[in-house]
Amino acid sequence: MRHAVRALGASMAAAAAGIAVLLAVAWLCGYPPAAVLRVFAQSVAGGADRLSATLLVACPLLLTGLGVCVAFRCGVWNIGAEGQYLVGALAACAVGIHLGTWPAWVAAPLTLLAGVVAGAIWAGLAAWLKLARRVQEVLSTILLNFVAIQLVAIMVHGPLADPLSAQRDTTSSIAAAARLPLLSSRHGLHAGVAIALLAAVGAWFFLRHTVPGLRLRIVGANPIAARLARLPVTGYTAGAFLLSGALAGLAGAVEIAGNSYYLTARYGAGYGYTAIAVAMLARLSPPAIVPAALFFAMLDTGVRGLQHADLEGAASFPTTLTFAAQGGVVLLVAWLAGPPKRTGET
Amino acid sequence: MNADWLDLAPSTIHRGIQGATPLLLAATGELVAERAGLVNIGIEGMMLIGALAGAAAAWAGGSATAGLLAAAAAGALVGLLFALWTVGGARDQIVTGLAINLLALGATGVAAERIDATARAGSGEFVAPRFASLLAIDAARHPILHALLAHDAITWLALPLVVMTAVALRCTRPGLTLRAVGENPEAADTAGVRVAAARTFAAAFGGACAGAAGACLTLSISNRFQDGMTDGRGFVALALVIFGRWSAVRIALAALFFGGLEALQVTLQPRLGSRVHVLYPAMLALPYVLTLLALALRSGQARPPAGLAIPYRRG
Repeated sequence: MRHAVRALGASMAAAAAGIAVLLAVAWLCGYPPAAVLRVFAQSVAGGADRLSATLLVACPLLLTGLGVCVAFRCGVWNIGAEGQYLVGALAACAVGIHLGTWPAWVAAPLTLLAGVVAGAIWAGLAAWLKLARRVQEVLSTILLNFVAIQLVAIMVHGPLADPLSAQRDTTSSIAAAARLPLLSSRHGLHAGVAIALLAAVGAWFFLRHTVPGLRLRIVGANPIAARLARLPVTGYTAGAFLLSGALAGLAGAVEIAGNSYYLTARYGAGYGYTAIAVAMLARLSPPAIVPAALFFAMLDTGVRGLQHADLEGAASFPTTLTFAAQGGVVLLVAWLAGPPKRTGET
Repeated sequence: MNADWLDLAPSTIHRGIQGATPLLLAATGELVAERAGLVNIGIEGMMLIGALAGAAAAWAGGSATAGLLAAAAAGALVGLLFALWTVGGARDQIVTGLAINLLALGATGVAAERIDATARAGSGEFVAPRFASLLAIDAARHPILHALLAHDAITWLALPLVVMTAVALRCTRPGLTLRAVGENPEAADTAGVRVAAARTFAAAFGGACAGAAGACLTLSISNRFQDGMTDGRGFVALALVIFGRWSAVRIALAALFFGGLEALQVTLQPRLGSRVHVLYPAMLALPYVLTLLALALRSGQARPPAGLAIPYRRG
């Protein structure tokens, strides 16, 4: 219990520091802090449409964050959420375009399933490289991210290109039947947000209250003990890869089926990297990933709001500040979390 | 094969050597860090910071050499930050490195925008003076000599750096100390080696090399800074260390190969015809696919330092 309170305090402190850094930099750049704070709050939650914009960013962050969480909990350093997210979006788009004649209750789930499978396959490549060829997943997943970016470009310009687009740099839109139902049609809030919340509950239940979930955590916490206890370490490692890739792929598919409906040649929004910050801020606990995803979504919409706001100060507000705040939060969480426990230490 | 393609070969080789330099510098720094037991994923961010620090110092001071020194110093400082977390605090190296990448991407973006605004306010432009070629060779009369030798100071510095690093790691006492710290920090500590000091030095050296590698991008290959301009080169350098199986010579050869691939992309892009939109991204993906294939085929033979990525705490 004391540990949980301390963990919560550390995360809150890191999040507060992230906002403080943002304000400090804005102030150093010559923006009045009070106005920055006001515009920031306004763009994050000023009215229903701003709030739903924040939720729309939180949705992919929640799903990819859960994916990172499952992998890290099993000791699998899957840094490839970005690539798995992209191939998920790609597969959902490729399938969704062709489902025009299908009923919606088949088309939409099929579109999401395509993303889930593609994400799992992409992570499965890294799993195979690690388990069969002893290639570190830290490296292979990063390299697969770069391959995925170019794969999207190839498919968008090639097989999936919209014949009506002059530049041939977007795909056709997916069929209406393949799109996710909207919870609020005025604000574009789609059912994917509910799916993401369900996934969080599911991940929490799986890790906390099922035997495979417990075993997955044991494999991550102490692989030697897991091996001595005759746990199938290889199987659990592969499973963690696939599950985490599936969640990231689902995030990409939800984004296509609920929000953007088509792909562009430069589609990545960096959600897959922010996901790592989300998972670290949540200290790898699925329930905490919900507020952590909301926090980074707020940071994102807040800074984008600042960029479009009419603030005193000549230059436009630097949007890359979001990344700096993310990095600062992760560094701080890592510091406050303390050094890792040694085997046998309690 | 017609004459047109033969004419392109020297310029491609020239560009390949130029493109290999940042990879080589960054990978050499990472080699030293990894030999001491540190995996530095933050190399990509350190390169970015080096690229901006180099461009800024060269722009302000009007000298490319000042830029290179500033880039190395900035990289070393970030390396020390990495060491503070991972050596002093025994925090996770992968998480720390990732955080440094995010921090660097954001901080350089903000700072570059500020410098840009300052430059424009003085009715100037944020453009760095570039290194000039050390040897003046007429490209038209001696194309091959020009391709192989007409390179600037950074490229010429990279070569002795690799040789010296290889020799130092293999044949000198500090090199042996560093490797001992990476293989078995407990034993090294018992033998009186200051493990934390050795690892901190390795992190700072790796950072300085990454910073210099970043300066290549803004002082040698181009002359201006762009957000995220390292574009995965730091991660490729990381792969080169594994690919080259922790040997400086093999790493150098691999860096040349990847520099050559990058040069081929530039040479071939305008010649891809109507399929360029599909073929060019495929070419951009090729280095990463080849790296993955190479790792899949070779990494079974590789043996990383035994203490790699494991924090060491006395007690």
